[in-house]
Amino acid sequence: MNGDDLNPGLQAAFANARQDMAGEAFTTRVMTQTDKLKRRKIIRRLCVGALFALLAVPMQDIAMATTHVLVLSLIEIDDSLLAQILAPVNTVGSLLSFVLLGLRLFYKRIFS
Amino acid sequence: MPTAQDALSKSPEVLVVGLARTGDRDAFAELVRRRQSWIRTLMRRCCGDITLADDLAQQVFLQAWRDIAKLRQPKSYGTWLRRLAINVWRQHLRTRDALRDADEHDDSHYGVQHKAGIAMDLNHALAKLSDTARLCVVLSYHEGMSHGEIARFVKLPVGTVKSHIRRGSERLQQLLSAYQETQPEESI
Repeated sequence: MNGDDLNPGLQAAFANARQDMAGEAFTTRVMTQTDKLKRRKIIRRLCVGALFALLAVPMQDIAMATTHVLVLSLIEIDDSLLAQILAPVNTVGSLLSFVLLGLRLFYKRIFS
Repeated sequence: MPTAQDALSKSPEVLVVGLARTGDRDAFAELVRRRQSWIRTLMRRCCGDITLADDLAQQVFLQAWRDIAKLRQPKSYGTWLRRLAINVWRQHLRTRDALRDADEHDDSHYGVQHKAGIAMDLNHALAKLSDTARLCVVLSYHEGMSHGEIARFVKLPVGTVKSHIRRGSERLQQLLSAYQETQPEESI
């Protein structure tokens, strides 16, 4: 018990009201629920695994196609040195980056 | 020949908790068996409704099953479980419909509850207190926690906790005296 000032009458009331409850039925109920949880967890993991297995190939194809598009040059430059210098900004990817950056700045200016 | 359950029932709790942390189902069942009465009584004091209390107690143990691997110190299992119970209770308070709850706490069940004895009288009287006052009173009188511990538990200043307990105790005593007067043979 704690050392704080407590009402002795109420302390007695709480002590008298304590009852030891038979718990086998309750325990069985809880364990049935835990088994359900366990099963659900396994099923969820299997589903996630199956989803990855199913989508892995198409996702890889999409990623490769996207990568291919992003490195395409916007303007064809004949001079190889100039083409190399401008390569970081002369791609679909860089154009997309600039557009996204511009949108972000625009959004910040409007809403903040 | 002693069974695994017999062995578990005789083992110290720290050991059983350690086994349960590894996902041992029987060990966890033993922990539920040992602590169910305590948690169910605590929930009954908090909510005053036997069915709801058992449902909440079940939620507490399910939460414990999910999180027991995260329990770092098996010896603090009791405190940890109590914290889970209080969190489940507070979560219930947050999600329930306050108006519907006010209706539930009317006196329509008083006659039935009164006949069920001291525990029901106490639960019924506790249900008349505000949620915070009830929680503070239960943690103080039922759990034997100090005001400081309760303050840390419910994240309120110690002074506020003391005030809740003082006022809650006074109100509780009035209510229990009133019950005693209406049915003297079931004395508190």
